[in-house]
Amino acid sequence: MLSALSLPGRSASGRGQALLLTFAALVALLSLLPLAFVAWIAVDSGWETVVQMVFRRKVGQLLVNSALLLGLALPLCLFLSVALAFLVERTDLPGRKLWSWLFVAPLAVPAFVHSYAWNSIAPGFHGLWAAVLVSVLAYLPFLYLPVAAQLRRLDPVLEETASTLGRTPVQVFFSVTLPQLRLALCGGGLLVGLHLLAEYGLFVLTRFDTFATAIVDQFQAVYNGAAANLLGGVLVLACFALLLLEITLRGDERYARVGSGAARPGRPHSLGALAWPLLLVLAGFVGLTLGVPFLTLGRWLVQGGAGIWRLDIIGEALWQTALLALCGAFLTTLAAFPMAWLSIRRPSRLQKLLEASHYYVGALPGVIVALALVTIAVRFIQPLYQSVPTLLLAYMLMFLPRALVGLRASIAQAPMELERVAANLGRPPLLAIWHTTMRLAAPGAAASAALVALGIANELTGTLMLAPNGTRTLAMRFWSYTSELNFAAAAPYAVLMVALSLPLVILLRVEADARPVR
Amino acid sequence: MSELVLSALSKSYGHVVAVNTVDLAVPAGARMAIVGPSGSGKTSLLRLIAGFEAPDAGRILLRGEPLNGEAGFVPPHRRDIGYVPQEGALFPHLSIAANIGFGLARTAGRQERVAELLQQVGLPPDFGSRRPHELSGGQQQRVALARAMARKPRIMLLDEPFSALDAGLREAMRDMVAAILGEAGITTILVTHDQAEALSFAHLLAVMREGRLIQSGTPQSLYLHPVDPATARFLGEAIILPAMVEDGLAHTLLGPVPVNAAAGRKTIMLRPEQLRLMPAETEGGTRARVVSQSFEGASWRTIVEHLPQQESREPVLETASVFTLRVPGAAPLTPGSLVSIRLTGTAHVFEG
Repeated sequence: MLSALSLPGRSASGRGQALLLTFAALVALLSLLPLAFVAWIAVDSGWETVVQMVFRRKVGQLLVNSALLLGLALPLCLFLSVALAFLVERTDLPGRKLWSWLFVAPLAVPAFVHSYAWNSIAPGFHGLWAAVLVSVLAYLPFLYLPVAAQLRRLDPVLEETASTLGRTPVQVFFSVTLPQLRLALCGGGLLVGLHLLAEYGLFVLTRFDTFATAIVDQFQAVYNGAAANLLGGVLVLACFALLLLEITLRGDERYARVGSGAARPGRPHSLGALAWPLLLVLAGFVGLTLGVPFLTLGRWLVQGGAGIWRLDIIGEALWQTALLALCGAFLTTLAAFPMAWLSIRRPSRLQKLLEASHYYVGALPGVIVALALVTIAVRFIQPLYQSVPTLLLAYMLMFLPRALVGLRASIAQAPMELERVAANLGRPPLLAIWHTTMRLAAPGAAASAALVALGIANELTGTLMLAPNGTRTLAMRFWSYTSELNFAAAAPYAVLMVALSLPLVILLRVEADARPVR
Repeated sequence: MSELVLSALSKSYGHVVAVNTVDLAVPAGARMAIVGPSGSGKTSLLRLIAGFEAPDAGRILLRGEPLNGEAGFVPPHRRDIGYVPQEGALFPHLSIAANIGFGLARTAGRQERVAELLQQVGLPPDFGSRRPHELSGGQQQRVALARAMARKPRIMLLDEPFSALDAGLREAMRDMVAAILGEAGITTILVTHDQAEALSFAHLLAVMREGRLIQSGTPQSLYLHPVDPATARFLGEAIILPAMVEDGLAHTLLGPVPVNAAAGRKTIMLRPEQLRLMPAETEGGTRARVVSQSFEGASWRTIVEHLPQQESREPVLETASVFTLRVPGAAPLTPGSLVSIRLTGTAHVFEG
């Protein structure tokens, strides 16, 4: 298999490549651990246990809950993302630039902080509708970003041509514009859907049971119990169903002439008298997405006064969070590099397969990755149970796709000739790559490592399940105070997490401007 | 009667005046080409006609009916104007048949009409089920034309539709489009920066520069009687010389040539094909020396240098004296050999 990739007459670079390939294969195997774990528990538990544990009321209820959540929140997000993106990109709405930032900004607030904000202003804020509302507010940017980017890139000539063919603006929107947004809607919708399935904190606070909350509950009650594992299996199936649905809906059609540069911006639709009422509605909406969390946080900070700023404790949490985030980001970037390099420099069927397994693991909820690693550690390598290496491995698996996407893009920009020249000048293959491509890809690698670090800093579920005793990250501190209903004490941690996430928002927003969707 | 009349039409984007008080009339059934370098405002003018933009000032009349002004702005979907953009802009999510039928009502005859249009633009019937990305650039353009013709528009706007095609295909497509539109009797406006394309496609030419309409008329009249040296050079290679006009003869560096102009100092224009190279001692020619020659297939691209005459007239000397000509024939001229230049036809005199 290795020789299939190395080209004849380039034995030296072939060796370096074989090393990278081995490394990538190793990471891919690690990525398969959660899936192997799910398969293993299904087999290990035996058919009867599976039937007994899976086909029961509780699981049915969770399935219904998840379906309701997806069925309500997803369409709302799809509709809102298109409506908001259209207003910003295609109309003369006043202050469009500002609005587009405001629509992305909720990303800076972790979902469970959104939930915390609502919970603390309305203690009775529970159940399906509460869960749907907070989900939409927290996750809408995941759809808004790609839809707006696609809309901006769409060559207006398609819409103009359609209008010369006798279609009214409304008809043009539905027959030409909307179909061109399909990829963005599918991709963004999948992302939102996976978050809905994976999120833990948000739904605990709105007291809405999902698979993720049920699994963590079970896990905390009886660690490594069959019940939690089998629920995990069902959750993985649900995720795969979502992936499959997205692939089916996306289709394999080509969408030519998207972003071919020469496009001139079309004439924005005039809102006329509608502008002012719309501005009011949008202001109200931003009040829900940003006003509520920030006002609530502000209120708790004021009420808590200086007393909640226990700098020793906060400092420790910040230090631990930073350390975990940096180590995790470094590990993840390092692990993603061989795959990123192979997929740009030596594309092949084997590379596609390996890359797919790098990506799929990012679609799995943190609970599943955590469950798998806990089980494996407990069964096979006891010392790794609740250890920092296990936690870092979990981070690596969860954030591998994030690192891979950024690395791929920056490696693609480094010319391959430089590697050849370096090799020609007598550098051994891996050193040649190190001195040329790695050097040039460094800024991109740093950016994607930063994205990973920020993700880790706000990670809650996996950290709760895997962290060694005594670990207290920002998210964990926030969570334990919130669980005690000590909202004021939790506020400083929320503020810090928001501050940490701001660069992420800026990066994503800038990136969405610069790069085409997929 | 004029199908389309533009009067004092203006449009600015910020500080850039894209279209500056343009007046233009397009007769019914005509094929007009609007030419100009990029940034001359020709595409902006087309967009105003199509209704993608509203003019800042001026009027557009389509068969006498105003498309803007007091009566209100008529949006593109009610203008009945066909449009073929660059690279076709086929709807990528629709089949070829659905693309062509896009503007047709869902009535009984729709399928037949689509089949008829496919045939009209010279595509086999089974292309209907294909997708745009499965077609070549030229085929996509044919589909775009068929789609625009489906609604039998009164005017067809072509926005550099051939520029993305390679050279051989471009000419064939141009001829085909001209034939189809001519047969259907649709008034056509083509926008292009390619003067050769404009000259061969159109009955009427309108030259734009910096947002202004510089000159309009038949291709022949514009080629032979351009309004200024820039237009002359834009429409083809031109030899522009200072001259002294006396008694219907312009005396130039290259000798006398007949003109239709009053006496005085003038600037005249000759097209390279009006210069003939003759053997060195020909009577009535001007002495010149061959600098270099390169083979171009049908002719030799020949650079000649004018040699000053012994008894030259003072005013005609102050000019460049190297000219590029195309000389047909198989045998090359040796660099350095002497020749004689003779002028044929009448020279064009620039006014002002």
